[in-house]
Amino acid sequence: MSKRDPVAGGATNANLKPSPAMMLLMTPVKVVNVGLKGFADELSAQGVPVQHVEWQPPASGDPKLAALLAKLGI
Amino acid sequence: MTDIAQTIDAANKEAVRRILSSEPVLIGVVRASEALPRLKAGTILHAGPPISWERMCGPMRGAVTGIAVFEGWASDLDDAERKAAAGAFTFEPNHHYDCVGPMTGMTTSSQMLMVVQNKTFGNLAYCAINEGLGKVMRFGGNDREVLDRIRWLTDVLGPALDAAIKDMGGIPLKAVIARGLTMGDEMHQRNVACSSLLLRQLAPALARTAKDNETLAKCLTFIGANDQFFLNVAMAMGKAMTDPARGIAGSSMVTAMCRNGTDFGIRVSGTGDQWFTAPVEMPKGLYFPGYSEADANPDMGDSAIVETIGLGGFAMGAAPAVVGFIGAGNASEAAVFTRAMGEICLADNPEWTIPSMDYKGVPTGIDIRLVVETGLMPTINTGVAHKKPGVGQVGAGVVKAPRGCFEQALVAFAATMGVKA
Repeated sequence: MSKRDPVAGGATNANLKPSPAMMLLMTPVKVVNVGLKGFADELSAQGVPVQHVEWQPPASGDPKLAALLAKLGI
Repeated sequence: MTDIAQTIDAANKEAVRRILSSEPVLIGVVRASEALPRLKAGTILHAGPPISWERMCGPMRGAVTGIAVFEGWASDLDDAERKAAAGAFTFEPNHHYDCVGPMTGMTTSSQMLMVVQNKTFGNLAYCAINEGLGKVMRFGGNDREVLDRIRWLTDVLGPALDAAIKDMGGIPLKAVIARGLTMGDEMHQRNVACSSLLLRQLAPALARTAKDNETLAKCLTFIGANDQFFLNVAMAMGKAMTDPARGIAGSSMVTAMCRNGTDFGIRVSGTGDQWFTAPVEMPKGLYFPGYSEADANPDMGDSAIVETIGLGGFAMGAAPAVVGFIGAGNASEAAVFTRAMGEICLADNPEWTIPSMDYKGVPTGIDIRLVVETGLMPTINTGVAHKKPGVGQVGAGVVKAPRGCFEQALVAFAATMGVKA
């Protein structure tokens, strides 16, 4: 019996150890969501525990302001 | 740490020290013309950064016409509007006269102003007496009932309060705030505890100094019926505490935030008295029955001075009840607002603490660098005015300071430090 990727193909050999990725999906998922809150809201709506971290790129991604901040000690 | 960073750090420490070491005391109530010699007849002080009549929103125009009639500078509201449009009045921000005012923030020469002295630095700050709820001038109201109430505040309550406060030798305010925070106030949209505490102190002195029992009864009834009475005291206190921190070279700390219904403006210590403005945003919150966001005016008032010293939206954790009132989420989320504001502030105030947050001090001293870096805009608790003149308050909510003010301020501040991008 050939070995198959347990994640991609669904392993049939009971002796095969599930990959870490598969293990993750076999246990209750705990999520930390960083940035866009919409992802956290979708998971919450499906009953998945999720901790949202409000984050955005420094200076909203503006390279000029980010450069100023760096020179001003941030 | 670079030399520039060290300079900013030292300047910010001094700016914060000046706020935290302030000892604000309510010392009396005085006529504006006596307290502010520069304030001439025909000059109308308003909330927020500078603005012309042409750019004023509906409630601001409503208040301007009302106060012009009150002062006798116009025969009626139509006459006042014509004169305003013709340039008969001079408009200047309250902040240019050591004053602050809630919402439209009208201050003119005949009005009685509460005076707060910062005993540490000796400076004075002023704010008119809170008019109460409902149809009032701060929300653009301008009919006979509104003007009559301001007349009573000027002729009766103002002098009575002045006599009582002087009889007491002044009322130290820091302790009142500290107690109010433990009783669920954040001193912007919830002042019920501090208003009660103030009345408890004032009542015996009012009884001793009032001209007659009927006057005393009316004064006590007016203050007792107004949960927001303390707001104007807190605002004058905020102005008295932040003014000594103005003009510290190298400090990136915000010394004023305010709105005029069209623009939001901030001042930063290291850039002196320059205003940085951006279009003001619409509050998000709850509306009284029969009103909706379609009726609302963008945010107004100098009242964000309380957020500038760590109260209001910054002290939301102390006031879970207000979270529901302003439609900002669940009461259990109140602490989230305070923690978020801690991310953009330089210090916690050890004298103003929040019991339910393990006695965390309110976050104090907004650093424009941290605002721009994190994208966390200052949260301001606010009332919502109807966009048409004369209608009044239609709701309460939360508004965010616009990003543009802080980005402009950062560029200007960097220039004072000899830094370019």
